[in-house]
Amino acid sequence: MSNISHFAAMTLFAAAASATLAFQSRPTNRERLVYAVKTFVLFVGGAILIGWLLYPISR
Amino acid sequence: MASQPNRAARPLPGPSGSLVWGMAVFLAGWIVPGLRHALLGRWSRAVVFCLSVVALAAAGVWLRGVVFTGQATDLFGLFGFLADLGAGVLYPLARSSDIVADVSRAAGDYGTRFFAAAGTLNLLCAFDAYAVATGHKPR
Repeated sequence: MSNISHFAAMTLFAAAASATLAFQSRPTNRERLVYAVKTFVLFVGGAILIGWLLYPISR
Repeated sequence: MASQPNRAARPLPGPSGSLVWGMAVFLAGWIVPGLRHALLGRWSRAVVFCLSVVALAAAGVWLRGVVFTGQATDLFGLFGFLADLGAGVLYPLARSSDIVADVSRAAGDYGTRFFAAAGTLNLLCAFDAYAVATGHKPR
């Protein structure tokens, strides 16, 4: 049965989106790597931060 | 850009700047993810674009997400259809697969979003190819 955790789904989306955006917007491989890592961390870190901010009102 | 003089607004092969040429490039990139960049020998871009779009679309179908049809009755269905259509050749492949959509579980909902994300990313890549082909963006 196909299943996936919320975190894995978020990670897959963040990886695909950050890699694509990096290759579209940056000319050199080094700049692409830096941009992709930064975007990936912001995607995942932002979601975790928002999750913790909402935690007190989730119950 | 001073540090990248060899990349400054170099036109693509073909009648660069023409709308028809730009549309042809857009269509090629839309129908097969990464095709236009592969034809130009920009392999790293082609591989990354193709892998990202195919991985998201495959995950969407595997998770049994909804692939919308053109018979939308509301705006959500209409925008979902347009986003899904952006996946190019992957859209009819997903529609013809035997996997039945199931959004009674969270995974099915993730799948719906994944396929729509694949479509919008592919459209973004196709527009990128169009901008390069028409000379609006440097290579």
